[in-house]
This record gives sequence, C-alpha cells and structure tokens, in this order.
Amino acid sequence: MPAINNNSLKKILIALGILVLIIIPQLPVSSYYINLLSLILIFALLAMGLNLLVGYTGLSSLGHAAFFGSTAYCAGILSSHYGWSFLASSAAGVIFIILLAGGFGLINVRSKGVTFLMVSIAFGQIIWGLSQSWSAVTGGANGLVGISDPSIFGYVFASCTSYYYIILFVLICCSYLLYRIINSSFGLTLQGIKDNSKRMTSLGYNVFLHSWIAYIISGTLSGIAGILYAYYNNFVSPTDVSVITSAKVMMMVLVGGAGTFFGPALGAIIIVSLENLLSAFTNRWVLIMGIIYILVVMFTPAGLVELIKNSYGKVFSKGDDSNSNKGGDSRERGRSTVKS
Amino acid sequence: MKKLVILLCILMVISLMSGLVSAAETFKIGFISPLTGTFSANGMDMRDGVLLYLSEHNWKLGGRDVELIVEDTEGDPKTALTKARKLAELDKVDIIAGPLLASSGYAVAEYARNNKVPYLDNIVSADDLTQRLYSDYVIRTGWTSSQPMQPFAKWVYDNLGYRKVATIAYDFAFGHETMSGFHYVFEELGGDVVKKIWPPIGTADYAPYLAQIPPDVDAVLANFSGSDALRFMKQYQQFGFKKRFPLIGCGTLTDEHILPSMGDEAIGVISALHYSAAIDTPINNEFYQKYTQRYGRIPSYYSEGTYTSMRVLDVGLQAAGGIDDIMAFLNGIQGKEIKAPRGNFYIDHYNNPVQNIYIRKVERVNDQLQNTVIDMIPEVSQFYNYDPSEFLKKPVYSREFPPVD
Amino acid sequence: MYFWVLQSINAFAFGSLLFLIASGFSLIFGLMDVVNLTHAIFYMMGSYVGFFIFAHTGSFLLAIIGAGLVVALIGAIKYRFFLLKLHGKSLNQVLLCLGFLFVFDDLLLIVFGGDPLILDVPSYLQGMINFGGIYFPNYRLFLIGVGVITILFLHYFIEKTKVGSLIRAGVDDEEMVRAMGININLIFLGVYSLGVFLAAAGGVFGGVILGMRPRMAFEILPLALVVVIIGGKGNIKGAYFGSIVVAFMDNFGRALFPQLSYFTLFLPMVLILTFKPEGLFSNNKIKRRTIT
Repeated sequence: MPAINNNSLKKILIALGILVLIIIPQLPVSSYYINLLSLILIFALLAMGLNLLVGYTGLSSLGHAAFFGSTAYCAGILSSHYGWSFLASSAAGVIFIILLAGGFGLINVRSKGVTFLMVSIAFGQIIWGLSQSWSAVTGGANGLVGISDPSIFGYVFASCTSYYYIILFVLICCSYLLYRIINSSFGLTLQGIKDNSKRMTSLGYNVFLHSWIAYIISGTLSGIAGILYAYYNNFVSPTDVSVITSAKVMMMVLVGGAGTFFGPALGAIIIVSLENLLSAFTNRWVLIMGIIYILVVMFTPAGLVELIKNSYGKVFSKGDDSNSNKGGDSRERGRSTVKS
Repeated sequence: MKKLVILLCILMVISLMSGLVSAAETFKIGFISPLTGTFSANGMDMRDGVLLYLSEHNWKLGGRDVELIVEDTEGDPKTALTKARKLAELDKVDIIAGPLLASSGYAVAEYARNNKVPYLDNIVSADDLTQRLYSDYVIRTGWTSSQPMQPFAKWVYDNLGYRKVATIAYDFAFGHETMSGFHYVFEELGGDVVKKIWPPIGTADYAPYLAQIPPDVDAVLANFSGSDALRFMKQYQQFGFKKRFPLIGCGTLTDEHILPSMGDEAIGVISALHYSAAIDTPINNEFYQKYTQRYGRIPSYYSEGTYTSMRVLDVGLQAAGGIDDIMAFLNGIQGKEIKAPRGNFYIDHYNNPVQNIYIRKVERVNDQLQNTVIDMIPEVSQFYNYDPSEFLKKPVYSREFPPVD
Repeated sequence: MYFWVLQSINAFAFGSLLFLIASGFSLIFGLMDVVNLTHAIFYMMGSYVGFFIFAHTGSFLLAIIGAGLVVALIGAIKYRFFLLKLHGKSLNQVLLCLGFLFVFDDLLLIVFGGDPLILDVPSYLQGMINFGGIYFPNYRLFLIGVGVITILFLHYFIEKTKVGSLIRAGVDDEEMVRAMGININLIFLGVYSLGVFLAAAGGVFGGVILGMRPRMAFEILPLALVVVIIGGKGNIKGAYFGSIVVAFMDNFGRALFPQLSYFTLFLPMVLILTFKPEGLFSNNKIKRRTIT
C-alpha cells in the first residue's frame, strides 16, 4: 500500500467504527436493536477483558462470569438495598472486584495450563453457589430486582439510547486503556510469559507478579462490564455467574481470535447476534453453540480475525506483526509449558 | 472455513430480515416459556395449552385473527427479559404471555410496568405481582402461591387434625410464599409450625435436610416441582419418613407434569391447588380428552393455566376489541365469570382470579396415578378471608414472615 | 447424635457415588492431561440409557453394563475422531470437550425429552436397615459397597497388572513409553473408555438417587473438579479420599450453614490449593507436571 501505511489505515478504520457506533442510535431503528447493540458492547468489554488473560498471558479462565456477575451483584445490591447512586455503586463495584480478583488471583495464578482452567471453574462455582443459596443478600434463585435506572448528577439515563452512550463511552475508555497496557513493556512481558514462562523467569522477570497483575486487570474489566450489565437489565440472576456464561465468553474470544485486539469484540458481535436472532427459527441454540465451539477449536483455533487477516491482508489485529498467529501456536505450546 | 463464515453471515442476515416483516391488524401474542434446559417439559406443557385453545378457536380471539410468536427463555430470567424486549419492541406484540419461573416473571413484570406493555401472567405465582406491586399492565390468570395454601391450612386443621407441622420447600419466593401462607393461617387457628427447612433449587440429595425434621411433628408440609419434587418424594420414602410423618403439600409437588414419573411413594399425599386433571366435570373431561389425544400426555396445571389464559384474553377482546386501552380491557374481564376446566372463576380488582381450590389425594386408578379430588373450597381469593387493604398492610409472605417461634 | 450418624453414613454413600464419576475423570486427566469436561454428560447419558434399559428389561445389572458399554463406545468414538486429533494441545482439548458438553446435553434433550426422570430402586435393594433406631436405606449402603469394590478393583488394576504399570509409566513419562515401542495410543483409548464406562455406570447408580434432567451435567461437573483438585490428578486413592471429603463438606454444610452451603463445599479446595497445590495424595513427579 503506497499512499497510506498500515498504521494510519487502522486509525481511520477505528475512527470510522466509533463514528458508526455513535450514529446508529440516531437512525430510525427499533429500540430493540439499540438494546441488542448495548448487550453486544457489554459482552465485547467482558471478552476483551478475558482476552488479556487468555490471549496475552496464556492463562485460560473459565470462571470470568464470576467476576462479571459478582460485580454486577455488588453494584446491584448497593443500588437496590441501600439506594446508592450509579456512580457510587460503580466505584464500590470496581474496588470490590479489584479485591476479589486480587484474592482469587493469589491462589489461581499459582497454577498454569489446564490446572489453572480447572481452578478457575471451581472459583466461578463458589460465586455461583453464593449467588444461588445466599438468598438473604442476593435474592437467591429469584435474582436481584429493584436496581434503579442509572443517573449521573441528577440526569436519569432511562432511555435505552442514553444508556447506550454510557456503555459506549466506558467501552472506548477501557479499550484504550487495554490497548496501552498491551503495548507497554508490561504487556510485552506478559506475551513473553505466554510464550515461555521459564525463560522469562531466568531472565529475571517476576512471572507470578506479572500474571497476577494481568489477572486483576482482566477481572476488573470484566467487573466493569458487570456493572454496566446490572444497570442495563436492572436485574441480576445466578445464571449471569454460571459456568455456561463463562463458556460463552470464552467462545467469543476463541471465535474472534485469542491474542488479537479486536477479535473478542468481533466474537461478541457474532455470538450475541446469533443467540438472539437465531431463536426466531430454532430452539436448538445450545446445540448450535456447541457445534460452533467444536468447529472453531478443530479448524480455526486462531479465530476469525486471523482468518480474515490471512485472506484480506493485515488490516485488523494488533499493530506489531510479531504477534500474528500466536493464538494457535501458544495453545500448541500449552502442553510443553505445563510439562516443563 | 470460509464457507463457515459465509454461512454465519447468511444466518445473521436472515434473522435480521425476519424481524422487519410484520403483519397488520392481527392481534399479536408474544409467548415465552422455557423450551430448552431444566424446565423444558413444563415449558412445552405451557405452549401446548396455548396452541390447543387457539387451534380450537381457529386462531381467532374476540373476533380478531391471532398471530402467536413463541420464544424460548431457557429457564433463564435474563433471557426471558431479552426475549420480552424483543417481542415488545421488535415484533410489536400486543401482549406478552408466559413465562414459567418466578424469577423470570418478576423481571418481565417490571419491564411491563415500566414500559406499559400488557403482560398476561398465566403461571408465575409470585404473590406481590398482584398485591403490593399491583399494576394495570400485569394481568394474572393463574394463582398466587399462597392462594391455595391459606384455605388448605384451615382444611388440614379441621379435617386431618394435625397441630404440629414442619415445612420443607424451595429456598426462593415460591417456596417461601406457599409455606408461609400456610403457616400464617395455621398458627392463627392455633396450630404450630415448628420448623421450616429450605433446600435450594436443584438440590441433589435431600438427606441432609430430611435429617432436620423434628421427631415429634404430626405431618410434613412440602413444596417442590419438576425433578426436585421427583427426587424429594423418592428420598422421603427411601429414608422411611413416609411411614413416620404423613406428607402434605402444595399441588405442584404431585402435579400431572411429574406424576407419571412417580411411583408408590406419591400415593396418599394430600395437596391443594386450583386444578387437578381428575376434576370430574364435563368441561374438564372434554379438555382432558382433547389434550391427551393431541399431545399424548396428561394435561398439567401448566397446560390448563395457559389454555385458560387464552380464554380470558378471548373474553377481554370480545368486550374491548383490543388491548390498547388497558382500562377498557380490564373492565371487560374483571368480575366476569370465566368458564374453565379448573371450574368457573372471576378476576378480582387486583387482576388475580378468585377460584376454587381443590384438595387432592394421590391415588392409583387404572394403573395410573392421579390427583383425586377429595374436597373443594369454592371462590377463594388471593386475600383469603381477610380484607384486602388489611392484608396488604402485612409484609409479603417470606422466609422471615411469619417467624418460627 | 441421630443427626450426626445419619449424616455421616449418608456422606459416605454420596461420596462413593461421586467417586465413580471422579475416578474416571482423574484417570483421564492424569494419563492424558485431558480435562474431560464432557465427563459429566457421560454420567447423564449413562443415567438416561440405563433408565431406558431398566424400563425395558427390568434388570438393574443389565442396565449398568449396557449403559456403561454404550456410552463408553460413544466416548471412544469421540476420543478417536476428535480428541486424538488435538493430541498434545491440552487447552484445545478442554475447549473441545466443552463444545461436546453442550452438544450432548442438547442431544439428550432431543432424544429423551425434557421430562425429569428417576430410576427405581431394584426390588432386592429396597427397604431400610435399622442401626439402633437410625433407619438407613439399603440402597445407599449398597452404594458404599460399590465404591469400595471399585477402588479395590482400580487399585489392583493400576498397581498390580502389566497394563496398569504401563499406565503408571505413561502418567510419569509418555515419551519413555513410546520409546519402548508400546502403542500408547491404544492405552489412551482404553483408559478413556474405562473412565467413560465408570462415569456411565455411575450414572445408573446415581440415577436412582439424583434422577436426571437436562442441564444437570453443569451441576455435577464442579464436584468432579473439586475432587480431583483435592485428591491430585491421576491418583485413585486421592480421588476416593477427595470424594468422601467433598461429600462430607457438602452434607454437613447444607445442614449446618444452608445459606453458605456451596461455599463450605469449596473451602477445602481453597485451603489445599493454598497450602498443598499439587493435591493431598500426589507424589513429586505429578507435582512437577501440575505446577510449573
């Protein structure tokens, strides 16, 4: 490409994308689609948060719905039981999730590979079990109701369009932050850990500390998605915490492409749209989801973004080319890492 | 792999298009129930009830053509809410009907209230939806959880002579409301509820809970449904409790959706509900015939509930022509006698039926278990014999209210 | 007293059932590094197939063997045509298993319908036994026996037979066994099928108590995970011990702290991960693999 280089093309594309997202609600579309788009953005944030662990640190977690859901519960309980404002409950939610992820991380990050994954499921189930059985606080199987509409300094974001812009704003801020983290020296260290943690240790890096911090950041981003979600639905239930939700988010990451920046967002678009729109035709959504899962793992373990990139040139994905093809590779290396 | 991508794209486009096409002038019902997952059997019973009524009436209600859009909630409240949104905002349905679970019902009712979308609640029995959270837009044709249990307490007190009872039921609103509704009336009469045990939904093994039943009670009152009821009843018998403490319960414990899977353990259990497939009236016998013929299953209260809810809609549309004017529609149904397999009933000013409560006993007839009706308490209101305004001053029946002393 | 004795016996019975599920899970994990998330659905499949056979033949024994074999065959096919293709890529294998978990769950719903079912206690195991005033169902005592027999069999099989020694060698060092010219793929296939057989047979035994319904697998799965985390991967004695511990925590947790029941179940896991992350019963070689 002679006239424009890759980097500026990418910037233009991103700007265009943001512009489209800003304009859509102003078009004459059904509020249903705006709500659906809001849901997609929330899950995109959750998936991007998970991707920091799965794609950039090499730790596959199947317990992220616990971070998502427990923060949603935290903000929701403060709002419904104690009448806290949107901003106050959100701030409390963020602090809560940092502490929770920090605590879980201390134990979970000690393991690697498939053991890490198992422990993450078990941790997720602890939170699920609490949300289900601690009914005095969480409302139990009935779910948590009575979360107020979000309001900032007296302005109530009751309409789906106004709240959509909040979600979009938060998503853009978090994505930017995530982008900076991934491209910082910290981010590069994480990728080094993912490729070969032994080597990073011998080079003098504190692998545990780096992984732990990545775990907390990842959990926090998922938690922020959870807060947005609680106020989006005005409602939280134990299924939001369940391993099925975790699996769905993991699938978004894999379908889009682990270790690519926009892959998880693409995955969120595909999975959430399919789930909501296919239901008009069939009740076999679970079956379809399972089959997509199997196909992706068997045939495109690197995800759709890699596929598109290979077909149509390197437009998407993170800037540096050193990272291309990592998604597949690293999981192949997973075993050797575990064995070493 | 490119084919897969293309396939996915096509699927998405098709699904998007489908939402844009809509018919005019027909009355649109958006129906949600769990058609997959743990509660799919109940969800399908609900759907079949609706289908039976509509096909019997040539897909016309109150003279208007009807379009039915069915969506699956997966037994998940957030999916129920998403689907309700879709039905209201995209499909522009005139009324949302369903779902099964109280959690989904709360979520959908809140949406209905806030967005002024009529919501036909045919199964969800959470008390407050037609009590303290009353809304013109929430029309219940089913029951409140405590509705059968309050008269049942008196019936048990008078006819079975039990004075000391322990309860064991789901640890969420459905369990709390049924048990505490019984508790309140039973203690007012002079009886004593000595212990309330609350296993969570989906409990695999009830042994840890059964072991907590005090040894000196006259009977055990229980409420579960679906697979939980099945496991509970088996285990209650396996541990020998059935011989020691008679089991009484809320009707869902032995409802027809689960009764065919049960065995001897269910025989003799006495329960209360506003329906039994064994009610011996011409209208119920006809319903029973048609339903079993068409679907090869015995109608459960879920099937009857949605079937009858269509009748209510029929009556309302006949009177008001539509539902856009919600007050006109409510005037068309409130206080009007409605014919139903469960027995004729009418809807009160809080949009909840005033109906017969049946006392049923499980018996084996022609090698099949059934809920034989042994007594009937006519015209029971959700407020029982209390004055509505006095009743509503009490807190809703819950885990803590009334307290065990 | 009544409460404590009854609960303790019951915990043993429930733990024995858990062991049937977790032992195969642990074996597969230990030998092949496959976290077989599909295992829970093989349990469910066993319940359903067993129910079908029991309803048609009336023989409980036939139901167990039949369900075990049918489901083991399905498991073997899944292993040979899917899992083997991803050999060595542990994480991809887990995710593949997750996909199968969803697919099988929905297929069971299509084939057997959504009605909750429960198996009847076979007539010769009905009734109760009286321990000085404490009544306990015969069937649950029988389960304790089944658990003991299973662990004795597996212990003998792995410690005393030639195949068992190869399996042990495979757990320690797969490459070494390959180098000896032994077809380890066949051993993998065999162990996988054996694990699935145990899960499916467990499904029949468990179907009597727990019944079956769609989505149940997602509730069984975490229990198996915790057992393996506590017992150490690939360790049969550990799996038995872990199953009993989990069952005790679950039983007493539910009775004593009902609102926090799930939390108490996972408490021992958190403690063990903190202080002995390789599991209570593992040796150093396994430790080397589990914790990098």
